[in-house]
Amino acid sequence: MTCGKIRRKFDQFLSKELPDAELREIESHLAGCVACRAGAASLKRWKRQIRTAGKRFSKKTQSIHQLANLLEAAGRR
Amino acid sequence: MSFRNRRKDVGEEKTAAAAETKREFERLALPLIESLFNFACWLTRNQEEAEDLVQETYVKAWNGFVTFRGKATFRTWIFRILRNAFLSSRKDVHAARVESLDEERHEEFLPHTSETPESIFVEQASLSAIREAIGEIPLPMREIIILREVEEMSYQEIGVVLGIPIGTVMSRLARARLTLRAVALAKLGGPRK
Repeated sequence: MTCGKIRRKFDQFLSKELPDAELREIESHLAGCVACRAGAASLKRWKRQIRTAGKRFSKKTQSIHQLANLLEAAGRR
Repeated sequence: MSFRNRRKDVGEEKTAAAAETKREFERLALPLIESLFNFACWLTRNQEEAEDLVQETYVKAWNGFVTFRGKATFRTWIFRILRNAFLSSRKDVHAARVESLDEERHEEFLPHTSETPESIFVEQASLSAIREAIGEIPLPMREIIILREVEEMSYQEIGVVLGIPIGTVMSRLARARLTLRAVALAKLGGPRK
């Protein structure tokens, strides 16, 4: 695979969503390609940042109890 | 056994089965409340509306639980319910979704660049800039970013939740990342490419 093709698969590579053969091929490419290795590391960091930023809203514990009551009521109907 | 006793036994069995179904539902559904609420907040951008949306989702999921066959995972199933409930509540969102899909027909994959712009972005971006940018990008991009990066869903799971093919998941996600980067960079005073 070329660098371009490898980079298009970084996201799935990082989440191990590719077949074993492709994962090995990308690992092997990264071992020998500094630019792609840096690209993969950058994407990994960026994903982590988005994840942190995206986990923004938190539900109160009391909502779980309210929800349980709601389900109880829905179940009785 | 008398007819009355048989009826009593059947009644008790039904009650026990219903209680078991409810326990199973709660076991699967309640741990997802934080994730669903977070997703709902990003969709609605309003915490009260998100609260209502989550409650509506749980009631719908509970009412439809008997039809859940485990073909999809429970998580993708309930996320899909939430998203559909949200779309039903917003006519303008329907229009935005259609527009977005039309656009994607002409663009299977984004052009690849050999640079790694994320490397510049990662060093510069602050959490608040990314957070603001997530809130500002178009809804189809925002939802896919949250499902992928926060919920860590696979492309296949995202396809199920959004009702789109994997090729579209890939192209939309790529476009969403580029847009997110551009918006966040603009907030930091950087170049908007």
